[in-house]
Amino acid sequence: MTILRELLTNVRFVVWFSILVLLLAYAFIYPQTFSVNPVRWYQVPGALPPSMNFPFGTTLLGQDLFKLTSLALSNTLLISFISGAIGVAIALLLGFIAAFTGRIISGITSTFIDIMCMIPGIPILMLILYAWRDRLTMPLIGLIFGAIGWTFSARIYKGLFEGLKSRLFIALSQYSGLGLVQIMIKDVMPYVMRFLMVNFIDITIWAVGNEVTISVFGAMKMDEATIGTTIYWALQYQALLLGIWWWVVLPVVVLILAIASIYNIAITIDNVVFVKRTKI
Amino acid sequence: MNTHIVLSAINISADYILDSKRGLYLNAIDNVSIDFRSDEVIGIAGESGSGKSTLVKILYGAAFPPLIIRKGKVYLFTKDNSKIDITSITREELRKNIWWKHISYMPQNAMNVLNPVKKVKDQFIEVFKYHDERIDAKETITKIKELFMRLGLPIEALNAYPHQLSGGMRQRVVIALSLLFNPRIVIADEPTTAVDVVTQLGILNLLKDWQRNSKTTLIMVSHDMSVHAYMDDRIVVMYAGNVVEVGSKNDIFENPMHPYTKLLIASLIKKGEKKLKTGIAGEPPNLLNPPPGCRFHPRCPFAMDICRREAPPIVELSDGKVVRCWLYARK
Amino acid sequence: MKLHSVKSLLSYIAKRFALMIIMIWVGLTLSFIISRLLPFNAADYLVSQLAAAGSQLSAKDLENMRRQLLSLYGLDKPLFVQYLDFLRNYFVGNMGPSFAYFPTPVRDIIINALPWSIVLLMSASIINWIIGNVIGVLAAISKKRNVVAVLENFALVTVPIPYAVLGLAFLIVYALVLKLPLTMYGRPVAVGVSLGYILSMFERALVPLLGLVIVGWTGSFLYMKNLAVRMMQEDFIVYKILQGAKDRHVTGMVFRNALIPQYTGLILGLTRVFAGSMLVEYLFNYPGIGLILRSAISSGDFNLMVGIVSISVIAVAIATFILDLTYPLLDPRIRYPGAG
Repeated sequence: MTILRELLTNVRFVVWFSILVLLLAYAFIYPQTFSVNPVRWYQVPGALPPSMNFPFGTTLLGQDLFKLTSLALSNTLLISFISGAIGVAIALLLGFIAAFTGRIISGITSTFIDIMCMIPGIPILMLILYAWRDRLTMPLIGLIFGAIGWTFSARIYKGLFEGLKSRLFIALSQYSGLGLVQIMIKDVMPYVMRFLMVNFIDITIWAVGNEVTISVFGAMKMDEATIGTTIYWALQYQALLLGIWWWVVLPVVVLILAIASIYNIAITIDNVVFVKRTKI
Repeated sequence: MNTHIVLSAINISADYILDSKRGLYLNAIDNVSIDFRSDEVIGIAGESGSGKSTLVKILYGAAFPPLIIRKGKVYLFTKDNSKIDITSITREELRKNIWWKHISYMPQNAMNVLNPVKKVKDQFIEVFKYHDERIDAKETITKIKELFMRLGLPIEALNAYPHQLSGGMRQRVVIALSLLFNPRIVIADEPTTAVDVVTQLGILNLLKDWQRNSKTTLIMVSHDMSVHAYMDDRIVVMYAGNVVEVGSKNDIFENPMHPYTKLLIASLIKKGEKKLKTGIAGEPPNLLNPPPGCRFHPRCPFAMDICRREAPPIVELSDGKVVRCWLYARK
Repeated sequence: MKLHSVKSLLSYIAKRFALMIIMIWVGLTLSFIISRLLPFNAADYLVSQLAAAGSQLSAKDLENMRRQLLSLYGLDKPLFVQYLDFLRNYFVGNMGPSFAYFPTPVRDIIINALPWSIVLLMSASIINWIIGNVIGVLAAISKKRNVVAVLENFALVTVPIPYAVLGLAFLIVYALVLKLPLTMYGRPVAVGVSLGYILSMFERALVPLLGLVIVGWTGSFLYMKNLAVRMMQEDFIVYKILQGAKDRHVTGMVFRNALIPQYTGLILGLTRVFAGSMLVEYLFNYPGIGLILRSAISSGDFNLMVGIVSISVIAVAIATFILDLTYPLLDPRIRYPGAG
């Protein structure tokens, strides 16, 4: 397809896609080679700066930061992608209801969406995670994030569907039943898909931020490795004051790379697939 | 008639830049020359895309990118006999001295050009401020009240926000704004398009009365020939960026010369007529790539061989009539 | 015309007020649900926490406390009664005792910290918004392409990154690169309407505020710039230009009109600034709700956490309402319903 070819010739896309692939391999494939869980304390000599043996150095607690970060990244990404998917699903459903149902139901749904947008999600998330953390797994945590993060996307879908509603009715007067289905596929789907991708990325990145915040506050499952919990331990043990800068800086750098690559890929896909096709 | 020229467009050609990298230009005006006289209502007629609005923007000096003037000049002749080159002077000069004082402009879609968050009277005060006129609020209100009375606007409208007024009233406010400094030339771009017929008549009468009283130049742009029939002394007919015919109202309606004008007049409904009307076959040309020779030749029932090859010259006949057509040229 | 506007204004205020009440109610209900849906019994939990921390209370005292909490939580009563008690308690400001600082009421702890958070939150929101909007309009009109490009690139790079990460980056730069001190203040000055208190608040708030503002303006900036560029094409702006408006008039007009959709952005962005400010408070040791929350989590003070969640919702709801009240000042179409 020409879309694929256009993407592959786009320098920005290729660069960021490669970075993402590398990071994903680092996060999900590399940990498969571990014999011991890198979270375990006192495995290696502590507080060593980056070197040939330990590319990221070691933490004060005697962990190999390079291996630890890879596992941490995998958990953080797992939580975030799941929450992105769940969030988009909920947002889509609620936006659809708000646009296409009768006056009363759509009114209630709309108000519900608006109110939930205004309620600050972070304290609630912290509370839930703190209380339940012994019973939660990473994917479940992603689910809970998604259950809180759908709000702004729901507004967008509501607006989207309402705009489409008027167009559908116009088309309805022009075409018979079968034609309408074709309109939906050709016209509606690409438009909706674009927002699906954008919102998925949005919620995913939002979840990353929340995971870091919640972990730094100590409300997460502290025995699991995520980028956030790594930073938590680093701050707890005064890494910055003690000069063990790599413990804080390197995981943050890896995370920024991951976020930037996801974001840039989304932007280039958006540009190539959607924006260019509507220009003159 | 004791009139003199107040505004003169000479050989204007202008393009819209669509994509300079790919060399995509839309030729909006091609070699247009018109003289505008004092104390006359001159109409610019033509279908959408004929270049009417573009032309008046250029006359006003508002040729902003992506519109660029390729060649030609526009001269403004002021009361004290100075000649100003509108196409060359700086925007700051235009803003300070020319706009609104010598010549004012009522844009298309006038109902939506008022600032939604300011009261009407504040918008008048603002215009005074733009032209550095140190005038206090009370004096302004007195001046405006007179204007409002003449235009049939209630004084209460001054304290209202634009969205509280009806479309017709907003149109009159825009007219009032244009006449604030008693300019010699007023350009009205489709002043009646968005209003109902009753309001249309009111607005047209308003403009007509004002012009008769002040003996100024009113340039009426409209695609509606009935407006031209009601208002104009002279009519300029445009097609695809060319001026194809210029003549007095009676000449145009009763003795059209250019084939396009002929077909245009023939398509109008006259009172009492029962015949079926025919439109003009075909479509206006794509100005990205205009046809060679005369731009009307693909649709012209009188097209000759030369029409397809060479653009027709501008033929000036007696008593101010102008036609751009090979039928009237001496070769 | 006068009477008409008062009526529409009043109905607008009434609607917004109702929205605020519903929001608070939803927030409190959520807190209640979460606090009751615990995988453990709150009273037992507290007692075991205290015992584990080696408290000096005798077994009899612990048992007393446990009974107090049971009755406080009303865990012996049916759920619906518990719910009403909960709401009623909160209405009078009774949020129960803190677990970690038993028996200090949660309310007292929060009231000490709340003013600090509000000051930080409000000033960060407003400064971000003002800077972003002003620079946005200027950027849309400016001819200095280079400066605008630099600003825009900075904004485009930082906007997708969640605040948590940026806040950490700021901390890293602050502590490692600039090597500035992190904890230079002692205990916060006691709450009171004294000059000393207010001054100390602003002094301590400088660094956290900087952390929030340095990247916080970018969202408004990008949005405003695009809005302003589009607005320059709007009919009424072009008309003003043709009337002879000077550049600074045009800037003012674009700003004034773009303010209306931007104001909505301010209201919506409150939750974002809220999340960011919590983190920044913790990172820079600023005695606000964020710091309190952190200590509540580390000491397992569940009651305090629930109290903070509830207060957060209430605070954001009230702030939204206040902003909603000022909205009609900006948009006359709310004050005066139109004719057409």
